[in-house]
Formats: sequence, structure tokens, C-alpha cells
Amino acid sequence: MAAGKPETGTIELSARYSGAEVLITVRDDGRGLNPQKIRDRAISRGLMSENDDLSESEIFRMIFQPGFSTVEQVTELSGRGVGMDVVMRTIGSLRGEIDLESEPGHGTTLTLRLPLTLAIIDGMLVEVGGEKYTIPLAAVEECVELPVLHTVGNGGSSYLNIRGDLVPFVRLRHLFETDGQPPQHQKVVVVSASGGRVGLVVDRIIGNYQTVIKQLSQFHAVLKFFSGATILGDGTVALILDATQLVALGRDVETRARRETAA
Amino acid sequence: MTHNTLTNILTFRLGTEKLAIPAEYLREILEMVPVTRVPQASSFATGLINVRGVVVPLTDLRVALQIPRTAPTEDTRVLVLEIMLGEEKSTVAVLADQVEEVTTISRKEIGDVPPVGSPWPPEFVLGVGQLREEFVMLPDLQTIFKTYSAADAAKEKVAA
Repeated sequence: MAAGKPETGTIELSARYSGAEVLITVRDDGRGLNPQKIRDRAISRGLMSENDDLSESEIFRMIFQPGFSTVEQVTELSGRGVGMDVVMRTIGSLRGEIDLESEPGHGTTLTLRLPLTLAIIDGMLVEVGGEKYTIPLAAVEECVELPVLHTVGNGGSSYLNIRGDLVPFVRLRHLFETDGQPPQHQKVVVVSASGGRVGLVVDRIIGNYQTVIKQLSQFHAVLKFFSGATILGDGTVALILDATQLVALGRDVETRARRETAA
Repeated sequence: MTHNTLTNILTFRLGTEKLAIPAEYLREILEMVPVTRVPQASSFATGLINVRGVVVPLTDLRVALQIPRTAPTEDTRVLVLEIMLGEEKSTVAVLADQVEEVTTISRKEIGDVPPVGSPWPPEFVLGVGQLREEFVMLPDLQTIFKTYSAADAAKEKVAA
């Protein structure tokens, strides 16, 4: 091919967390952006003047201008200068940003940076006293039935024997001061975080859902057991549990229990 | 010159009290919607609601103003407000026992709260006005919301 490239192009997509942002990277191995061509086009469209001394990245940003295109041959679908403008506006409306890197002859990399409030996680939806909560699926290790031995009692917590390991558990009914009586067969969702484990006793496991994380307002940000909220399919709001904080709570319970045993 | 000092307000009732807030804060009024309880939250902001795909905290001014609380009735409405809290524009929902009207009040009709015998915490009240022979109280939403927001609530906990 013209630039000595293979016939088949590759577009690589990747996504990762970075602090409070999600980075979505789109990389191609095409011919890259041509700064000279973009510059010429920008000057002829009056977006910059001949004398402007713009850096390469400032010139690259011209491709986000509505109607901007360096293509000479416009087809029905391609080359009209709409696509990148739409991408920019959409990401902007989500309070995100776009980074653009390009190396002539080696391809272009676009990084979409979205605030974590719009991140999607896989969540496990559970029910406690008629109220629904989401547990990040990445933290869930397994789900077991609450042994009959523990079904009575309303104490804050106790231990569960999971294949020989003692795992502290927390009754969410108790923690969240839920009304009513638990069902006969309660479930335990074992979650792990920062090297620890805790069993969360729930009434029912509903299923797995993709969940868009919404941040909690300043009235609720202080509540440490919730990391956010999400809107369910029926339009109601469900809180997202913070696995790290619940594991820490389980650890406190464990320490207290040990002290009591020692005393 | 009184024309310049007219303010658009929305009047509503909480218990037997008539309250007014600037109409410019108001985004919409909803009928009672499903509320998700937030465990361990303060009684001022016990729930979350879905307002067109946005999770909005539902607050109860009756808690701040020490007005007795009653269960929602068919007149209960949710006022969705957009208000500057600190640097940020926030969307906050407020319960109203009954919504009355959007009207105007002139600034000179708004007086200070009598220091003695005021049934409400004075720091939460901007003033008291008169509207057709009836008293109407203007709550200080900024101060109320700030007091019950995260940073201050945390302090409250430490003190307790």
C-alpha cells in the first residue's frame, strides 16, 4: 500500500480506570494526522490565520471543528466533517475530555476521559427488607445460603465457615435498620476487598445488572457504606454498597469478637 | 420604585405554615414519586428520587424548621430546585405538603423574624412577609442545605 502498510488496518479499543476517571482509548495504525494538511485547511476555512503559531496538538484539535475535513473526496457517509464534532460534543456533555495523539505514518490515538460518575460497573442486585441494593460484581466472591444455625438471632454479626475459613458476616437488615422479618432462607454474599472478606446477609439475590454509577449528593457523601447510587430498570433508585468499607466493618467485628473471646 | 423590588415566589405549605421560596430556584414540581430510603442518613435527607434519570436527594425542610411531620397525602408534592450550593449548582428536591401559587411579593413587605417567640430556628429564616393578610415565611435554603451537607453533618457526628 501507499505508505508501506499492511492491507488490513487494526483499531484497538481499551478501557481502564485512572483515579476518578475512566479512560477509553481508541488507537488505529493508519497514516496518522497530517498537521500540514490540517493547518492549510484551517487557514483556508478561516479558523486560524497564516501567521498563527499553533502547536501541533492545537492544530490537531481543529479536526473537532464542525464541518472540518481534509478529505478531497466526500462520500455519502464519510468525509463531511461531522463525526469528530459529534464525538467532541457528546463527550463534552458528559463532562469528559478528549486527548489526541498522532504520529504521521504510525496512527492516531484518541483517549476519551470520562468522570467516574458516568462509569458503568457490573453489579449484583440484592434485596433487603423490600429495598434493593447493588454490590459491585468485581468484589463478589461467592454466594451461599445462610446456615440454619445463624438464621435466628439479630446480632450484628458472627462467623461463617466457608470451606474451613472463618469469614465474619454482617446482617444488612441490622446494619440498615430495616423493618420486618427476614425470610426463612437468607443468602450470604461473600465480598472481598483490600485483602479481606466479609459475608453480607441479604434476603434475596435478584441478579446481575450493568449499573451506571451516580454520585451521591453532599447530603449523603458522608455515609461510608455507600459509594454511589444507580437507577434501576423500573426507574427506582438503588444504592451501591462500598465493598471496601463493609470489609473493614467485618474486620472490626472480628477484632471485637476476638477481644471478647480473650476476655 | 416598588416595582423594582418585586420578587417572584412560589408559596407552599408545610404543616400549617405558609412558606415561600424564590421561583427562580424552581425547576419542576412532581407528584409524590417512589423514594429510596438511605439507611443511616440524617432525617433531613432520608431518601433519593429519580428525576428524569438524575439521582436527586429528597429533603424535608420540616426537620430543619422544626415543623411537625405528617405522612404524605394526595396533596404532597416534590419541588425540584436548582440552587447554588457553594461553588456548585445542585439539584435538590424538597417535600411540600401542598403547593399553592407563584406570585410576587415586594421586598419591603418582607421583615425580619421577631427575635422572641419565633417558632423556627432564626438562622434558617431569611424573613417573614405578608401576603393577603397571611404571614409567609422565607426559609434560608442556602444555610439550611449547607448545615445539613456532608462536611457539617460529619462535624455534628463528631460532636455527638
